[in-house]
Amino acid sequence: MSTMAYNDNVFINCPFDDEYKSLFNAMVFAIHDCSFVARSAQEAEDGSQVRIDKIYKIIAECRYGIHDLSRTELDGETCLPRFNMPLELGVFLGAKRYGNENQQKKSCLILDKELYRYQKFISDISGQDVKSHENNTEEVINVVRDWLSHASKRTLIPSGSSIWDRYQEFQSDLPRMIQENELDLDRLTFRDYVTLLSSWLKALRVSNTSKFTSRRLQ
Amino acid sequence: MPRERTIKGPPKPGTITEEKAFTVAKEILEERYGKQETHNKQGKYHTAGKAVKKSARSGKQQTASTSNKRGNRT
Repeated sequence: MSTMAYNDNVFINCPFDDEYKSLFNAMVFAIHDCSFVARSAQEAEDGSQVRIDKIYKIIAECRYGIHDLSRTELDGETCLPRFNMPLELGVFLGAKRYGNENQQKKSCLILDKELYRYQKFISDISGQDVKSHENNTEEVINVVRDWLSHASKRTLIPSGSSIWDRYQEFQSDLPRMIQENELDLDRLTFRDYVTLLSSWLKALRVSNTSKFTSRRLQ
Repeated sequence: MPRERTIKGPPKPGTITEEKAFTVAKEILEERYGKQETHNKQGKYHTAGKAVKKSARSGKQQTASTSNKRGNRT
């Protein structure tokens, strides 16, 4: 994998349930609107590969990682906590600590639904900067945008409010895009969602260059 | 050893191509914002944002920023 791709890739470690979907979709959009590439364990289709191996591979290919611990809570049926997200955060931190020079450049954003809640179940990461998205779509866009801007030190990353405006516009166009591409909204895969949103952003740049540019410079 | 040939078939059902997704998105956005102007009044094609002219010597296309060494606009 080229260094350039590594520097653009953002691993998203989050729940894959329907309740979380609106936060996840907004996060993926914000990442692409900031000119980065969202990566997720959902992109892997190779059934012969062990799931944790897929996750190791994707984490190794990503300089940035977003780890959302907000759904670390007891399962209603088993009364046991869901620990996949803390485990993948551990893999990411381990790669940063013990990996090669490139891996040591890793940077991560840790999210939870309330500030300081994580200290009750994963106190070892106390001292890390944990942000709260308050289960709010607009807030998750702002938090992801501000972190990417700070961590990458890139200039001309659009403002959170302009990303939010574009996200709402994309959301209103999405049903038609799904229909005209002969897809099914209820069975939209991560890959297809990323193809739709990146194509839409590309088309927006072409169709509406002046508006897009002025927004990017806000 | 001969290189293995990759045979590209049609996309799998339920998957989309970037070209098609882009075309659909462009249509939707053009309906909203109108078409991006790609022709000038004389009907000649130009690239957005930069004037393109042909170099007298080489015949190659140049933009204003590369057309002379001093960097003056021509």
